[in-house]
Amino acid sequence: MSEDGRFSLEYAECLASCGTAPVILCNDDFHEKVDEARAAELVAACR
Amino acid sequence: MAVKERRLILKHVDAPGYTPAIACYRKHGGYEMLKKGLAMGANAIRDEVKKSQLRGRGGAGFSTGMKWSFIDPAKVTKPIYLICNADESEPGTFKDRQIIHKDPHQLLEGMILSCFANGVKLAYLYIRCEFTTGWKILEKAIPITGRW
Repeated sequence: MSEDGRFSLEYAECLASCGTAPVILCNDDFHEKVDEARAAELVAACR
Repeated sequence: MAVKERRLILKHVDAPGYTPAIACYRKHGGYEMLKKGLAMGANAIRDEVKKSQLRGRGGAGFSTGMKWSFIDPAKVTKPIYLICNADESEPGTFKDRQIIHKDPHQLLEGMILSCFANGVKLAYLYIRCEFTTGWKILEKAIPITGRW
């Protein structure tokens, strides 16, 4: 859980995407081949 | 040495402009098999499936014809259900998602044919909630299937 309580980070058991990892499920939006820069973008977009 | 790929299930999905929409599926011959199957009758479908040696997509690769032969619709007094397992979840595999994302109507046509062949009136499709792209596509496709 982030300090401001706005984000939580969890593990998913399966996202059917071994071939395009790393993958992120952000609420109901699915993102594949996520590198650090993209992850930062996704978090920023949620604010 | 180049490996030559012979596609069966994913034969059409890379055709230019191919979408999961039912109109596209039908344009490439989708639902013709269902028409054929309904005309053939349930027993004929079960015989054909057994003869074909078709196997399921689960890790066991179990013979579909054999699985279907375990229940004889003529002798059963209780309802028979079809469960479609769209859970994926086998470590390292992401094969079922290809069908769900790219050709959902093929999955649905297969389910309907299977239901007809086995006297099934109610089918369930289990998909894990994490497959958001997948269930959104299926939620869109399923109501349309019944209306063409």
